[in-house]
Amino acid sequence: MVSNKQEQAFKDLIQSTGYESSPGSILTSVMDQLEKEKQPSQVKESALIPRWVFVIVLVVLFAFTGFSLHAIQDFYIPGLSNLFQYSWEFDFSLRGLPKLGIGKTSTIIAICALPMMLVQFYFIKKFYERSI
Amino acid sequence: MNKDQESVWIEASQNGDIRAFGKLAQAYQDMIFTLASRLLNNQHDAEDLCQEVLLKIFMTIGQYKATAPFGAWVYRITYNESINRIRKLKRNKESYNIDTNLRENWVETSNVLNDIEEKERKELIVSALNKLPEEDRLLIMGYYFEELPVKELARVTDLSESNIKIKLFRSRKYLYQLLSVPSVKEKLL
Repeated sequence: MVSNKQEQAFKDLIQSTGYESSPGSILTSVMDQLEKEKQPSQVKESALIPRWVFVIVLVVLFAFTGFSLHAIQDFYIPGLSNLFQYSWEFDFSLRGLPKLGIGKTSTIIAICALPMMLVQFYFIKKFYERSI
Repeated sequence: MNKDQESVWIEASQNGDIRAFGKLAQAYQDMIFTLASRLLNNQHDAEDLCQEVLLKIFMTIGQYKATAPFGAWVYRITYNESINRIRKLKRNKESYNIDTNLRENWVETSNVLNDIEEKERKELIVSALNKLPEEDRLLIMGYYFEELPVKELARVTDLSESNIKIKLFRSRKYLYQLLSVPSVKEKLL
């Protein structure tokens, strides 16, 4: 076991090395960085996804919705509450391929899903632009 | 540094006052730089690390609670950043053999070292410290240089108090091997 006297001698020896003086440039650089971060950015960063892409997406989605609703032959707004009662079918048929049908359920899903998709696009846009 | 003044600067820094943080950083930058420099053995890396630590302190100063000394909190950040840096540099941990039967006589060593020039003495001690593995070096610096209690070091390093005591004991023995009177005399010749 080392005595207190030896322990103190060892401590004094280690402490005799003292602090090394740090270059003044470190603090200057840190302070500059902090000042810069404090000021609001003057440079407007360009958006990762340009605005026109969202316009196109919106136009396509609204066109799709409109077209889907138009497919319900006797569609009228008050009738939306009875949407589930409509029986209609929109067919895609290509020669030699099985007939693809979009039924009323697809339209209902589309109507419900579109706002959700829009919300998702909004958040994706915000995420990539690093504003959330 | 006056502790009351320090508390004022800490509080102001927690409220985002950059000037107050500048004062605080000025008071602690030598300590951070010394630790970084002794640990990394590279002036450029030490400057980088010191800068990173100061920025980290500013970013996280809101989390500091006055239950522990501010110096210990700064030491903890420096320790963690240093360990991360060492891991990035992927330095191998050195192993060393110690003679546990060696009877330490630091008073005698001190007397011999005090007779040589300050610069040379410092070089001898620092080069001996550099032979320790980084973690042990940080413990020696924390305990003997910064005078942090073992309990505080345990909080900083996540090691148990007994483990720290063992490491300190081994490191001191090893340093004695390197700095015992015959070794020092041999180096000075």
